[in-house]
Amino acid sequence: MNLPIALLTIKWMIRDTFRQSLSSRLFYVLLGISALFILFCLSVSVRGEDPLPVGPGDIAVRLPADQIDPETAKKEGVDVAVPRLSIGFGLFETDAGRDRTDAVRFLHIALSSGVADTTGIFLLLIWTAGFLPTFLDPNQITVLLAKPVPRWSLLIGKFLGVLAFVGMQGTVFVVGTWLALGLKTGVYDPLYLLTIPLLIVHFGIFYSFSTMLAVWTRSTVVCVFGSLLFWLVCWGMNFGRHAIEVHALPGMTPVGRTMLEVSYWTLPKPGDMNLILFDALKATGYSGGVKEFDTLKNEKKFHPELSVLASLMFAAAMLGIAARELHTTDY
Amino acid sequence: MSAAAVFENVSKLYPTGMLGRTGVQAVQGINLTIPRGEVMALLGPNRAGKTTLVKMLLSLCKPTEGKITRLDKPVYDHSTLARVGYMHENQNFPRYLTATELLNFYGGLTLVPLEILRPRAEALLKQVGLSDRVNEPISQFSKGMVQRLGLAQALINEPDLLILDEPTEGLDLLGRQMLHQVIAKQKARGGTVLLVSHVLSEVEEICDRVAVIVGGKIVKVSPLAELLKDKSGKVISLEQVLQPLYEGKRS
Repeated sequence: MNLPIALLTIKWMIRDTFRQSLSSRLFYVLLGISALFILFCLSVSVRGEDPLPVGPGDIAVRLPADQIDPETAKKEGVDVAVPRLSIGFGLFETDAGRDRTDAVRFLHIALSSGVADTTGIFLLLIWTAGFLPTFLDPNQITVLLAKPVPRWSLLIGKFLGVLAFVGMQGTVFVVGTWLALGLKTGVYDPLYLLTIPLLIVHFGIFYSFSTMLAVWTRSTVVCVFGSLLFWLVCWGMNFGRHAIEVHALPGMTPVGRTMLEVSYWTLPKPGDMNLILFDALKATGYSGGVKEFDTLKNEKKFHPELSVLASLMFAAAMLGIAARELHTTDY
Repeated sequence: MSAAAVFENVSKLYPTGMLGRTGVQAVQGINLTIPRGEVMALLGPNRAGKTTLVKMLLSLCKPTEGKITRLDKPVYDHSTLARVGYMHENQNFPRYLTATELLNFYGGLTLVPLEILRPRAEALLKQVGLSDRVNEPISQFSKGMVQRLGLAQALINEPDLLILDEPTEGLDLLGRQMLHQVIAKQKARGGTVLLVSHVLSEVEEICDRVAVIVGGKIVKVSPLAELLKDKSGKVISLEQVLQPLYEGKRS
């Protein structure tokens, strides 16, 4: 294996993937979606959290609204912080929680977990599913395969190209919304930025399966439906395993239990990825998690490092199978 | 005689069916030498095995039996592909690339250094008559223009072995003349050309040697000049030579 040639090939393939995304207009569609969410963040404001009187020794004496009835407090002569979160340039208002940091944290979690990590990955798997089958079309790839470069590097280059594209779009989304919210509220919570690497890892794990399907079938339809179905199956398996771990399903035989464990540790774990993101954002208390997952975590039976490692090993295995298949295929 | 490529007792069976227990014998017992510095035509009827031979020579598929040598090295040594140019019969380049981007991309993958690649790409686009369309996406190109671009792509590494599979498909008169010039230039600099074509007039005009493959077997290999003479020494056309061979009668 000639590593410099492989690296050069990967570089060319990443560049080519960006051009492919530009031509499919996906590049601009995703930027447009990010722009909409940035605009949404610019429409946010938190009011009613004016500086309150400071007591002796500069100790803040304000009390959070959710810990005291404001009317009672007022009667007692206590100032109460009642911040309001305004969205859509004042079209919609709600309680902002404890303070503006709370309000921003809540929005960060919604954008990260709900938009980027779940809906985003679902849509990205659909929209990028056609990249590899198009590239692997015999009339297109034949000339490339007749070049003095390893076949695996063409495939891995394309895979990394899609990953770099998703990473770039994810960065625009996360950094854009982070800056917009910071600009409007003065709160710049760096934890939110952890969404970017976690999103790339999560997407990469499932895109490796799509890559394997693309090499085997060269069909966009199979890649779209196959990877989405696989994602749902993995979610089901992930949740099912944790639910059985917590609730101890009656009638579960040792063989069944072993099979479940093997499946859990073999397949990707999208639920665990979501939980890891929740933990990274310190989201407990801001958003209701899945009960079974929380129980498992409290009982110290959840191992995020092992879970991610096992999922990454699955991705590596999928890419290995795909590269091997491409290497041995007659064109 | 030094050879650009040598096929020694080469066979290829494409497995078919779910378990691959049955198969289609594409070529069988091929022995063929492509001499350096010559223009050799590979002729044969449809489904004779021409494309399979080309694909094996390009390491696109592996022979089931036999040995293939490309530029003095075994065909599984991909390093020699850096000295091979290939023009595919059904070019389907990424439509989002421009002509310049395509040549830079494919040239980069052929390991041509960047400082050489850019001026060479410019010169080649001029040579194939696309210098006024260098920044247009390929999606706006006609079939003939794509063929011209395909030829430029095959020449980007100044190959020692140039393989042209149906290169005149979609080319106009000027395009064909340009192709003939390219082949003559390749020969003049000591390069080898393997031409797969059904256009016999073209073969008669530019080739030194002809190999005829029928039903997966080589039935004739001969210098063109010898081939175009009958037993009495009278000059005959290539069509007259090929007709009985294609119909299965060995001369």
